[in-house]
This record gives sequence, structure tokens and C-alpha cells, in this order.
Amino acid sequence: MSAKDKRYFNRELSWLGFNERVLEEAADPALPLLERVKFLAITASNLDEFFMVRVGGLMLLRGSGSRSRDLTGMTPGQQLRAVLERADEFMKAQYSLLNDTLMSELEAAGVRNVRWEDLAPGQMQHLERYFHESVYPILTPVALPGEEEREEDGDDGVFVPGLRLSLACSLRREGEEVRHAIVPVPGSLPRFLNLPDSPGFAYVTLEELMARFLHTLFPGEEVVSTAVFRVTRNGDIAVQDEEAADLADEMEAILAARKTSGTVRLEISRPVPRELAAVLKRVCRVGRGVVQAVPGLLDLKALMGLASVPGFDEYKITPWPPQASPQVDPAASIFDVISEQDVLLIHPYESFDPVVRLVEEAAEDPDVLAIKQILYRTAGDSRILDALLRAAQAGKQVTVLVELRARFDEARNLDRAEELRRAGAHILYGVRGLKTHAKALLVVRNEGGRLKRYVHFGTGNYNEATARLYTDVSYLTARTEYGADASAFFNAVTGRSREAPYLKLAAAPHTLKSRVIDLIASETERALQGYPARIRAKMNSLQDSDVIDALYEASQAGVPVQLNVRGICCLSPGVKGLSENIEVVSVIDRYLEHARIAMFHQGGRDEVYLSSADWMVRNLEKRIELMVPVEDPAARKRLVRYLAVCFDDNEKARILRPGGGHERRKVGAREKRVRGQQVMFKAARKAAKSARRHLAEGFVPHVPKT
Amino acid sequence: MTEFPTPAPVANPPPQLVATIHIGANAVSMLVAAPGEGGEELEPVDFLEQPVPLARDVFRAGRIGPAAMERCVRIVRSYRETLRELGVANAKPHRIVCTNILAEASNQEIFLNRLHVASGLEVDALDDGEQTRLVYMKAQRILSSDKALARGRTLVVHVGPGNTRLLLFKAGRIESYSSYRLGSHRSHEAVQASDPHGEAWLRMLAEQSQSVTDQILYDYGDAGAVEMVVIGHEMQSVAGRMFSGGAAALPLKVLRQFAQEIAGLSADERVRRLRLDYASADSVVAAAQINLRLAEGLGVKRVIVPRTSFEQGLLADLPYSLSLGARFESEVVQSAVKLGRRYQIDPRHARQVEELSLTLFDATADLHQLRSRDRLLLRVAAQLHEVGNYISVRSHHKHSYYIIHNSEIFGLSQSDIEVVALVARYHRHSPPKPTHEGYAELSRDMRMRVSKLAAMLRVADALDRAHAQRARGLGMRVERGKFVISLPDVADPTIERLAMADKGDLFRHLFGLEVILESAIG
Repeated sequence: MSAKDKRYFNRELSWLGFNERVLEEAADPALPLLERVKFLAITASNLDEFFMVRVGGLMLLRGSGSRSRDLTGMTPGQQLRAVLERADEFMKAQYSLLNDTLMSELEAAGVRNVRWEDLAPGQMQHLERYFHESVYPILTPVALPGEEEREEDGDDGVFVPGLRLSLACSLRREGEEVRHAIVPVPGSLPRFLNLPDSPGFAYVTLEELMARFLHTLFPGEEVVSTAVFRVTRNGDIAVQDEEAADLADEMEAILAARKTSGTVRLEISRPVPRELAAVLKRVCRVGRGVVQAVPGLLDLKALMGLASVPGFDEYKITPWPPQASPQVDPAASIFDVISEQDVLLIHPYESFDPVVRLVEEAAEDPDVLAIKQILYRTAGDSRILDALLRAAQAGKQVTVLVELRARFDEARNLDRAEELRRAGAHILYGVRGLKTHAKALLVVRNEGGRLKRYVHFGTGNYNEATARLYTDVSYLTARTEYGADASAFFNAVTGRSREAPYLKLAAAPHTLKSRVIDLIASETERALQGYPARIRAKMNSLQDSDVIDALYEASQAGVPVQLNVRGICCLSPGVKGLSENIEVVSVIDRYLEHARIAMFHQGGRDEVYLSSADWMVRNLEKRIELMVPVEDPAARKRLVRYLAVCFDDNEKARILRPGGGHERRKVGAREKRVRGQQVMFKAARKAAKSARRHLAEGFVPHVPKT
Repeated sequence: MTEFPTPAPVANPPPQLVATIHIGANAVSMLVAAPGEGGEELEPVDFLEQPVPLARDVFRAGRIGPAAMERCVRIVRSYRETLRELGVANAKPHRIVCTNILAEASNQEIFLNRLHVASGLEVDALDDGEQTRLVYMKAQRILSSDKALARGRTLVVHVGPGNTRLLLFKAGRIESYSSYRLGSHRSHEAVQASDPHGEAWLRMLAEQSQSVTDQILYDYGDAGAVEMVVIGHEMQSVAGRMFSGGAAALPLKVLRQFAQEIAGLSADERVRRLRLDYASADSVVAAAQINLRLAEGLGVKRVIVPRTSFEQGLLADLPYSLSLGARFESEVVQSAVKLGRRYQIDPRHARQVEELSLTLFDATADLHQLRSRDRLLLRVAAQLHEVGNYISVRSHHKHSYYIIHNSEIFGLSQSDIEVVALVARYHRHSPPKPTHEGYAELSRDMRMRVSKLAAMLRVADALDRAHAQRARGLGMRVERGKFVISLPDVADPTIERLAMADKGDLFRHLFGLEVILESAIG
């Protein structure tokens, strides 16, 4: 391996490493069973997206003959080979965990997959009725054309929807040739059908039920063989998680140029009837895509349904409910609270409610003139959208920039956006050429003839649902400079003005990256001049080579650099002469680590920034993102402490080794065990409790002694 | 049952905001400001700027094209949206002005009407006078922020889009002032057709502007300026970006390198690197080149470029630039005094007539109903009424007219100067007639102003007929169809009475009052 190869890690392999760490959680016997099942489902969902976007992209690149090399010097073909090999291993591990361990543990816990042969007569009747009443009416079988009916190029003219389970079958009628049909499994029905008259949760799968009753769809024909399969296409940018939704430049261009998307992967559950496999390869136009024979249940992300079956509390984690922030008096107006002091919330330990309240109170408040907000991804039933609607109906100036992405469940939000527009709100669907990923909310209020602006900046989306599952940071402030900056920012993204220089903020794509690099360089320079220096940062992914190089220089100058990188990390830490002062830790725990925070020692001032941006090329150069300095001393102190906790973790943290690959921290027998997320939860609970007590004490009357 | 009246909700007064919009050479910008905490000083609330290539249309085609016009309309409308969001009453800005280069567009009138119809706002076209005042205000601010600049001889150079203004300050006061038809966009448009690049571009700009820069260097070559302060949209926009370390003072070497470097870049590279709109990314090369040439020619070692935003400063000054501060007025008069000196007038007589005119103006405020601006014009006319003597005593009032008409007086617009020239012309002999050159072209309102001011100047001039400054401590009163002026110090006002018989005519005709001179002794 040359020196250059060691300098960076390949991002795709690094991502696969992340998914392997998630699988470790699924394999961890110390975790409650259903939590492990949930982690397994997450790895499957992650992998789907990875195939769709990253593997799909690499295939396109290779197909276009591109030889462009990545940071590590690998061509698309080389990357693809390495990725597929590792993904294959990964899938084996997933199924081995499921089949050899989790299934039997589930059964022991009472979550049982009942074999068809073992069904009681009553259960059989129930299923039959269910099939005829609920399943049969919505099935749409597609017959595959025979050889002579096909197009000249052998095309079947049949479109199999991506990422959905389907059944394929061979049919025979006496004296006729065998023909084939495909029946998509309806996505609207539960995958695991709960059986009556059975303790616990006994189920058969929907695809099994369909397979058993397939003959009713083809009267007079014999169903010779069946197979369950699923196809994954690239360009199906119906991506679930933003982490996977980014594409390299080249891929993006190629994707945009192609309307039809090729098949990346065809999964068929074992045992695979040979003849059907050949038919499916043709129908799905697999070409150079991957064909996988899957040893068990297909589409494991459906296990999420099992992980959340009602009851079974002893197999689930104890919930850690979000706590009320002691900074926010529930009885006071949120405007007064923010006016008095900046409010810092660390989610999901602390509730997202104050942010929602800001929008809701703004909607009702007669003095509020305008509300402006960026919505990247909202919850299905969004209180924030409701409040914005009320505000618009009340005649307030409401401006909402909705970042549109092709997601099915966002169709509803689109309707809401349209509703908002009709109510008089100013709606914008993103900025041309750039994805608007910044999270900002601005409320303009007239306070006795003086204009006052309230601002929220965050690291996560305005989504009440994910705010309970992702670790994120919210910063609420009424400081004048932040208000002015937020106003200028909205003027820029809504096209009212060119982007003017900001007083406090840094914004991608123009100033954020250079600010980050300047801050790193400043630590380097201080270290070189013998001053104390330190960098601590937390993010989802680290991939931008300019930033990585700046960090290497800092390391070489002796700056201790601690990075909490949950997912992709292309930086190689601990390499002598390159990065021996850099430590990279990844935390995988109950909540998805999502906050982006950076701390620079700056000669003792410990400047802290929070941001919507990861240190990746796409965030720093191709998106609209914000980085916000946290100036309030108390808020800054809390974030410094939070960062410290992230590095104290020795239970859920994994250290990135110099050569690549993570390993758990070794904990000495006498060392205290620290689980960062738990520490944060307990701290939030304690603070909330003491605030409550404080509040309650206020109402205890002093009774005179008799 | 007792009914308790519900208290009326206390109305929240609308936010105190001052918004100004500037339709400039390369952009339409708006500043919204509010009084700061406790202070009177306005602080910026919002600044918006959207590029529109107006200068390009004006200097290339002599008119504003429909695309630019409609873009301006859209921008102004969107700015009104912002004002609505901020709760500004009727979403109306305090002022909306357009750059004076628009005067060179053949369809300026149509443009202003279109904006009026589309946005409901009356747009003022900035005149040269106000433009000069804006530059002056900015210069004063820079001087007041730096003691060395305020004390020494400081030349402030503003290369605007179409015109270049130079203000030479000595100890904080204007020593001399002039304006030239030379500008960043004007120069750029003159050479752009050949699509120049690099050194050739700079050479072409130098050649194109040579006659004017030579004139400037001739005018200011011996001014002994110690420091040169460069202001202007382009230079101030790039000041922070181009020069590392944020030094406000740039050695000429750095400025030269900068000019060469940006001339060698493509338009896109300049836009990206300097964070400018396309129009400014072109005109910045001309601005740099012109400033460089002037600095070299004047022999200064460095130039000082403020890092503040020129545009924001201009917008912040707009609420104030209509009214003239006392300091500014004295600079205007000072400029007139210098002009008078050049034409060898009797300074004591000029001073005396100026003072008498003002006494008269103030005493007859109820009669003439003129504004403070007219007072200033009267002062200037009083100072300059005899400049025509330089050419010939015969018909010197006519010579005064065309000398003033063709002169530059700091802080006055072309139409101001026309008023001054006419008032000076009518200080003797024939009263205004509709056949007279200059007067003939005036609106009725303007004619009235000229006549009233001339009437006062004639009376004042008569009072110093002897050129001996005898009239002091005057008393004035209106008395049964008479305007009585008492001259407490003059024993025998015969000369003045004779002169008044000649010159009191216009006053009598206009105000219906006979001017009577009353000697305290007699």
C-alpha cells in the first residue's frame, strides 16, 4: 500500500463499516431482544439505500467508462468490487444473526412464525377469510408475455416496482406451455399477520399467505413453483435517510441524464427455482446488477413491525422520555424566556417542545408580524405546519421554504404546503441548484414600536418525530446580530437579496468551509507558536479532503484533535507523522447521533459552533447550510461539557483504528463505565426534576406555627 | 347589574422604521433602519440588494431596456413585501431614489413613470447636488473617524458609475471640489466592445480616460494632498476581500497588482472571487485602474479604502441628505467665495451684500414663503453677483450669468446653479423677462423663485451702493404699503436712496411694497 492509500479511507467502505457497527448492536445479547430486532431492521433499511444510491451510482460510473479515482485512488470498478464483496459478507452476517439467533429468541419470547402445517383449523379459516376479503381484491397479477409476444429486443414490457416484495410463479395448463406471472405484494397490508387463538404474537407472513392461495388467481392452472423476490434500482431516489441521498457530482449528472434506472440488485428468497430465476433476471433487466439468493425473510426492514408489536415490554428498552428544559418556564411566554437568555436545548434528552411553542405562540401572538422558516423534512402530523397555517390565516407574513425531495410520505406535506399557500403564505420550493439543508426559524415581533427578532438555529430538522430519536441541538436567541443575520439569510434564500456578508453566521456554499478551515488553521498556528490548542468536533460524516488535510496539519503541529464521527470517516487517525494526535470515535446507541458541534480552543475562549452541515463536500459546497457560533457563555459551557461526554463514553463508543476499522474501547476492571447517551438523559432528568421542585416550592405557603 | 367596560386593547404602535431604496447603477438596494437602543442614531435592521445592469443599458444604448426596467419593478415590489413583513405603514419607504446617471437615459421619464405605476411609489432622481452631498457626508464620516485625515490635507476621490468627484479637505474643510465625466461604468462600457483582457484591458481604460485624468491631475497636481481616500461601490466592496490582513491603507504596489490580477481573470472568476455581481465585476477593473492612475499621478504613496459598504452608507444617509446641515452650507458658500476670488470680485462688498440679503430674506419670510434652500442660493448669488466684472464692467450682469452658469459650485445641482446664475444676472438693469435666455426655459414655480430672490438681491445691492459697507444694524418693518429699512449708522443715505429708486422696482412689483430708507439721524 502506498502512502497515498493510507492518507484517506474510502467513503463507501467506511459507510459499510458504520452499518456493521449498527449490526453489532443487533448482535449484542446485553440489549433487549426487540431493540436488537429494531437495529437489524435499521441495518437493512440502510443497506437498501446504500445499494440504491451508492452502489447504483458506482455502477453507473463504471458503466459510463469513468476511471475517475476517489480519495484513496480507487476506480469505480475497484470500489464496486470491494463494496459488493463486503456487502455480501454483511448480508450473510445479517441472516446468520436472524436465522441462528434472533428467530429462536423471538420464538422463546412468544413472537412465533407459525409453520403452515401447524396452523389450527380456526386459524386457517381466519387466514382464508382474510385473504379473500382483504388481500385478493387488491392484488394485480401481471402475466409475463411468452417468447413470441416479446419485443424484438427480448423486452417483456413489464415494470416491476422497485424495493417492493413480489411473488413470481410458473403456471401450467394441461397441453400448454408453461407461462409465468408476477404478483406484487401489497405494501398497504401488514407484513406479519397476527393469528388468532394463540398466545403471544403468532404470525404468518403476507407473502406466505399469498403463495398458498396463489392458485385462486389462476383458475384452471397449476402453480408449479413460486418465489419471493425484490428488485433494487438506482435512481429510485425515494430515499429514506438524508445520509445516503447524496451523490457524487458525476453520478448526479449521469443520473439526471437517464430517465430509466437500471437494476442494481435482485434478491430472491431461497430456495430459488432455477427456471424462475432466469425469467426474473430477464424481466427485471438485471444486466450487470447483483443477484442474491437470500437465505430467509426478504426485506428485513419490515422487522421494524415486529420490533414494535404491542406488549412485550420486558423485551423492549425502558423509554427515556424527553425532559422539559429547566431554562423554559412553561407558564411564561416563550418570547419572554428567549428575551431573558439564550436557550440551548440538547435533544432528545430535552424536549423539542419549546421550538414548536415558538412557532405556535408566534401564530397566536398579535404582535408578531412575520414568521420565516426552512422546512427540510417535517413529521407526518406536524404541529409546526399547523401553527404556520394558523399564522397565515391570521394575516401574518409567513414565508416557508420547503425543500422538496421525491419522497412518498412527503406528498402529504406538499398538500399542506399548498394549503399554506392558499392561506396567503409565501411558499418556496428550495433554491435552484442547491439543496437547502440549513435549519433556521425567524420570528419578527413588534414590541411597542420596536422590532425584535427571535431566531432558532438547529442541527436537526423541524420534525417532532425525529426530534425524539436523533440527538440534535437547538439554539434559541433574540440577540440582535443573530436576528439580523437570520433576516439576511432568509432574504438571500428567498431571492430578495444577494447574500450579504453575515455578522455572526457562516453559510455554505460560500463561507462555511473557509471558516471551518480558518478555525482549524488558527489552532494549528497557535500550537506552532507554543500556545495551547485543541479541536473537538462531532458530526455524522467527515469526508471533505480539504478539511481532512487541515486537520492533519493541525495534528502535525501538535493540536490534540478529537472527532466524534458517527458514520463515514475518510480521515485516517493515529498514523505516525500524519495524524497521531487525532482520535476518532463513533457512537452507536439508542438514539441516532445527529448533532453537529465543533469546538475550537482559540487560546482558551473555547469557541463553539453548531451547524447543519457535515464536513463533507456535498454539505460544504453543494448545499445551503449554516454554522452558528454559540456566544451565550452558559450555552457554550453546556456544549463543551456535552462534547466531553461524547468522548468519555466507553460503552457505546468505538475507536477508529489507524489502519481502518473500529473497535470498542477497552475498559479496565476498575474503570467506571460511561454510556454517553445515558449520562445525558440522566442529567436532563435531574435538571428537569430540580426545576420542577423549584417551581413547586414557589407555591408552598408558609403556615404559622401553632 | 353593574357592567364593567372591557378595557380597550392598548394599540401597539407600528415599529419605528426608516426605509430607503436606491436604484443604482448596478443594483437596487434597500436599507431598513430603526433607532438603536436609547439612542437617536439609526441602526440597520435589514439590507437587501439585487443586481440590475442599469449602467450597462444607459451607457451602451442610452436608454433603459425593457428587461432591466421590469426587473427593477419586480425588485421594488419584492422590497415592499419585506416592508410589509416588517410592519411598515403602507409598506412605503421613507425615500426611493435613483442614480443620477439615469439623467443620461433618453427614457428616464418613462422609467420613473413605469416605476410609479407599478409600485405606487414616487421615485426621486438624485441630482448632482444631492449626490455631492452624499459623497460629502461619507467623506466627513471617514475624516471624523481618523484624526490624521481630519487634520491634514486629504483628497477624497469617488469614482462613481458615471462621474468622478474629488474633494480636497484641509483641516476638515473643503479646499476645493470638482466633478468630472469619468466613471467606472462609463469607462468600462466605452471599451467593452473589444472584449479586452489583462494588460490590454488596463491600457485601453487608461487611454479612454486619459484626457479626463490629465485634467484632474492638472487641477489637483499641486494640491499637495498628503493622503488619498478612495470611496465608491466597487472599491469598498472588494476592500475587505482583496487585501489580506484588512489593512485600510494600501500601498500603490498592492493596488497595481490587484488591478493587474483582476484584469486577467474571467468575468466568472471575478464574480466568484470578489463576490460581486457581474456588472460590478466588470466596472471594478475600471474603478481600480482610474484610482490607480490618479494615485500615481498625484504622487501619493498609498490609498486608503474604507472597508464599510458604500451602498449601505449611502442608503443610511438618504434620509438626511435632502436637508442641508449648517456645516455643509458653509462649505457651499466657501466654494462660492473661492470662485469669486478667482474672478477678482470685491470680497467686502460681496460679504456685505450676502449679509444684507440674508437679513432681508429672514425679515420677509412671511412675504416670500421660500425655503431654506433658497436662502442658500441667495447667499451664493450675493457672493457671486459681480463676477462678470472680470470680463467687462459693461453688461457685467450678463457676464456674471454665463460665468456662474458654466461653473461648478460644490454641493449645488445644475438646476441650483441655474437659479444662482439668473439671480445674479438680475441684480441690476432689466428685471426678468420671459424672452431672456435661461429664464425662458424655467417652470412657473422656478421663475417665481428667481424673481423673489433677485428682488431681494437688488435691494441688498442698493444698500451697499457705495461699496463702503455703511449699512449696519438695519431695522426692517412693513408699514402701510411700505417696506421701511432703517439705517441707524448712515447719516446721509442719498446714494442708497438713488440706487434703491433704480433697484427697488422688482421688490415693489412682487411684494407690493415700496422700499423706503430711513436714516436714524435724518
